[in-house]
Amino acid sequence: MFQLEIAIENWKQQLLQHQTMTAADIEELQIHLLEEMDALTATGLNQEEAFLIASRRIGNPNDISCEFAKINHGVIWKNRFFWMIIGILILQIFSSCAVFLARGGALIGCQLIGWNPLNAGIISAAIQITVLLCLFTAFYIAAVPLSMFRKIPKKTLIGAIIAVTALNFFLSHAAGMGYNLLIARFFSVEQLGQFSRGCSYSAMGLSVLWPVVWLVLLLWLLPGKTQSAS
Amino acid sequence: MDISKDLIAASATPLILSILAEGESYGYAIIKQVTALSGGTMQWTDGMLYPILHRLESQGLIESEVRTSDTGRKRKYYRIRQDGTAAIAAHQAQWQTVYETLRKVWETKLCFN
Repeated sequence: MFQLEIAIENWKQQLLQHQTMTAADIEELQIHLLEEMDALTATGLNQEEAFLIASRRIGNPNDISCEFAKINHGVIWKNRFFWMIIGILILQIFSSCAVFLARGGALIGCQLIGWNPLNAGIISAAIQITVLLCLFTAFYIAAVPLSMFRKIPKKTLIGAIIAVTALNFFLSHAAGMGYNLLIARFFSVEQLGQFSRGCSYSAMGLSVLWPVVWLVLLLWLLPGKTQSAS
Repeated sequence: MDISKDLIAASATPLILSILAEGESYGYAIIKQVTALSGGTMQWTDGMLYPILHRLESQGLIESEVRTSDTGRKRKYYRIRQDGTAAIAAHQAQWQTVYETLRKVWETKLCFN
């Protein structure tokens, strides 16, 4: 059965998709839709018929979003900035996770399995890359529907930022201190020297690898490839 | 006869300003008035009206106010400002020139026929 509220909600989501319209813009269009529907139902149409005709008269959501994009530059940049900040936050927490797990993995590998501490760097680099790849893939899968329907409640967002900051602090400082204590407790001086040498090698390798990865990603996302609105 | 999309887009601004010069109005009523004035030949895509209204507002030609109508529905009413009235005169002069030019060409052509 036709439910007007759901139909209107879906219609609004379609308009929101391109993120070129403000809430006030959409509200004004919704009022227009309802006025048009009133006039149509007065002529004897039912709600569903009236909704279909009224939304059609208002126009294709893609075309309307494009028209609004021409005047709402501020909105577009605000939305872009929003996602940039989210990106920075995510990158920060993901790399903290990766570094934390990589260091722990290298420590365990050397201490419990008895790997050569000099190889610690390779182990930690491998763990870092794997963890980052997994996290980014998971995020991509989760974020694609999110970005299309930007409906993150403010409270959730504030909570998430606080949680991420706290976790970030824990992973990169508190846990780091714990690791250092463990290393000091179990490693001999010679082992410690080899361990840190191995880690420096991998750090050097990764500092070349990451810029290459970003470059490839940027080339892939180069704006020229996406279809322009106008 | 339907008016072409380009011509509708070009005439939208002077038409909106001129309708608002008659008195304040809101989106839905403006569309209805255009349809009535043109005898249904100028079919606007309703949604396209609002970006134009917002642009005119940011240019300071019109101003808006949200009020609750008699039916209890919130509506955004638009009103023309002084700069808007001045802009109508400029639009009129331009359209007059275009019309005169076309008329002259077409009259000359008629003489040759």
